[in-house]
Amino acid sequence: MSSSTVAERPNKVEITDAGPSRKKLRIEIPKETVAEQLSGHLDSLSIEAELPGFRKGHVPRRLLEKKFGTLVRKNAKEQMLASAFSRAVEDNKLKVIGTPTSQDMDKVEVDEGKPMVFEVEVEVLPEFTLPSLDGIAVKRPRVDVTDAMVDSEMHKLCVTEGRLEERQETEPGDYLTGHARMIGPGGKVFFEQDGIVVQAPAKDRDGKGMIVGLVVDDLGAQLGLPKPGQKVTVKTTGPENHEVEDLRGQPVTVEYTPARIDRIIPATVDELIARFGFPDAASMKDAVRQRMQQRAAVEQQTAMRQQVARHLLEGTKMDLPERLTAQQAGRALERRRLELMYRGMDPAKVEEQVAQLRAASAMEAVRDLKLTFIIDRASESLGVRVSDMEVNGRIAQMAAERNERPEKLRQQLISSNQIQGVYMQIREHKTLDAIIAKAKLEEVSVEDYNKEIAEQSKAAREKSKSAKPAKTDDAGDKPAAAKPAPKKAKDDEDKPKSKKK
Amino acid sequence: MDLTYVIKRPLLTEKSTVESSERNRFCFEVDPRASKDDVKKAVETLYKVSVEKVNTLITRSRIKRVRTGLTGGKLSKKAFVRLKEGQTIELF
Repeated sequence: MSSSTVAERPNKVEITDAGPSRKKLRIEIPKETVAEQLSGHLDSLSIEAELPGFRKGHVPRRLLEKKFGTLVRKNAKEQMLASAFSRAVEDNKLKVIGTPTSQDMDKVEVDEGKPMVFEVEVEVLPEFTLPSLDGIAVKRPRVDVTDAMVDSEMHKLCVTEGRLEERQETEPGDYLTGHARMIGPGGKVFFEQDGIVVQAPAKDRDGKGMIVGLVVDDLGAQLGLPKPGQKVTVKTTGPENHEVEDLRGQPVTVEYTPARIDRIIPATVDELIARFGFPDAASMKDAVRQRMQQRAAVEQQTAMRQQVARHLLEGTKMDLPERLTAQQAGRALERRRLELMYRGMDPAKVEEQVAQLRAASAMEAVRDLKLTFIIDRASESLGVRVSDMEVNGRIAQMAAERNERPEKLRQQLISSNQIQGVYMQIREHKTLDAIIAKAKLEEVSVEDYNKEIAEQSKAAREKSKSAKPAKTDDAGDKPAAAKPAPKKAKDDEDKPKSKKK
Repeated sequence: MDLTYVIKRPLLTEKSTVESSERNRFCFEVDPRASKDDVKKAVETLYKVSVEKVNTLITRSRIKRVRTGLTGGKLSKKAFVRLKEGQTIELF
């Protein structure tokens, strides 16, 4: 088969809209092309085929057809499908995202003398107009690290560096380690494992806590203060965006039997000084202050990036592909985990936040997806590139925040397929920073900034209460506003750490 | 002999393919007890063709010495059947 012949005989392609950012392609491959393909496959097979009684390459064609006809047709079909699809995409300049789907691909028949007709549905990049990236009004919260904040951080450090002491009685804030069993609808066991750590909700948490990745509002009341070996049952409802589809919105029962109880006994400042090798408490405080200032700078930048992101989201209208939006819900969690890791959050708290986000509505995914498309376009227009060195640098930074070796973290990210997420995160940050560099900056106090954010959140919440639910386009403009719980987490992120106790 | 048991299988080899396409001679493995007439009748009945000539040959498989004695030496019979001009058998 010569490619020029096929090129002279183009496939018939009909493209129709099949929903938001979704196209249906009906492709008809001419019978001559089908015959050529089948014949070409048989030709190549006849050169290679070896059958008893025949020398290699001397098997009669008809015998080959009889013996391997099905296989040849299957191979030819796969090749024709792939090439016809990619040609149709190329010729019609479709920007396909994700994999194409087809319901009756198995029924497509390849017969000599008949054209091959098949239909596929693809999701394409949504069409939208990028808002102006110049002169966006951005408020820069002024961050000061006070002595009280340094003292609070020192206390936290003492707790982090404290030692575990085994107890026989549970008190709020203690860590329980034991066997957990997660039972879903119909008594099906979805998860069962030893060594699951659960923190008995501390007094300042209003009984809210996390167990096997699920946020339970009244965990304190349900868990109580169990002794080792005492089985407790926690009942909750699976979040709407849980990775396991069968658990979404379904009643979930967790049976938990603690095997041991540990309490953190905070280290003393003197112990810390000796452990970290500081000459005295003052120099240690200085180091802590410096680290907090660095973190505050990151928070400040994050706050500005979020303003830019909000501006871009509000100024862009687009119809999002539905299937991709659902997939994005899972990926959004991973991205948020990375974001929190980068910001130096304690690993346990990262998981807690992720568990909260799991409970968030699909609106969060819609917002993230929309932002991804906008950032993609904006990075192209601003000429933003990400090098391998930058990816490695970011991993080193995250590793330093988590007190891990960079190589180890890198391996973890590769094995969990999150390295692409790091790349995307850097590209997003660089793009937003490039927009900030061209923005009109206004310096405000942290109090004013937090007040404004709180007002915005309140307004968004009220708006979402009155608005009808989940229209794809509007959803992106109101990030996570439909549910108060995730919004609270979002609010916390918007506030720079400097004012957090 | 019962015609059902005469023809065991058509022999599809490079040589038999050439024979069938060039000389209209088709090769079968037949029961060693079958006569040329049996083969002729069987082919005519089975494939609904007219046979012009049948050539047969008996081969004996090689005798091999094994731990328990000797094995092999089984008889098999091949029949080359020439059809009348214009007739053919679709073997594949």
